[in-house]
Amino acid sequence: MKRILFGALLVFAASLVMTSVSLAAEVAQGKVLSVDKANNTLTIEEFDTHKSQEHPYGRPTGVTSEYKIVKQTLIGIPPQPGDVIRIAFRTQNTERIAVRIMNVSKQDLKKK
Amino acid sequence: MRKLAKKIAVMVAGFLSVVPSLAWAAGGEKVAQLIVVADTRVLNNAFVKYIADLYNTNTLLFAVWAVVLTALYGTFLGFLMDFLMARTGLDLKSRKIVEH
Repeated sequence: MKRILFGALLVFAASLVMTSVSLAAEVAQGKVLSVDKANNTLTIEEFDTHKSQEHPYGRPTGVTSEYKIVKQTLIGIPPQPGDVIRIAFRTQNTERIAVRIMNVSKQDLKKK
Repeated sequence: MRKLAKKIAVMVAGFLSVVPSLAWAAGGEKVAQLIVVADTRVLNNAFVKYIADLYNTNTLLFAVWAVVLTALYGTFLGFLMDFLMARTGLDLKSRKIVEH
């Protein structure tokens, strides 16, 4: 009986891990360059992870990337050009599909 | 009397349910959702990264893990307290009442 329970627990834990591994998303942070509402896309200049007083959200890398906003994308405070945002995204072929968008600069508690 | 009380209860419940929409209609601005994205770029620990990634992608599974981990932590604390109480010499396992 104990073995069966232990086995069931292992299967449950494995299924939890495997389900989420297949759904993993990457994260990017940067300054919004443009928001194209017609094509539902968002372009940002990516920041790195080195934060300092001069660059509290990371240093600009010069790399620009475009993200597609779909119906399921969770968007917080609507991003506008100049805002610093953090995006969780999945890559489909060459397209980056946004999963969640956080408006970092507009919900920064340190500013208040 | 009972019917009247029922009617009043229904009216109060109905009023309470439309209060938020009345506030919006009165000119209140619709508040944007606050979305948080966990920054997995700066995480090195595999398990922490896995949990943060779950938070970003699958809230339901994240909630399941939260329940599982909370239960495990509760169990751990229970066993720890048992161990500590046993070390103090207090016998809390038997129900024998000793009067001095």
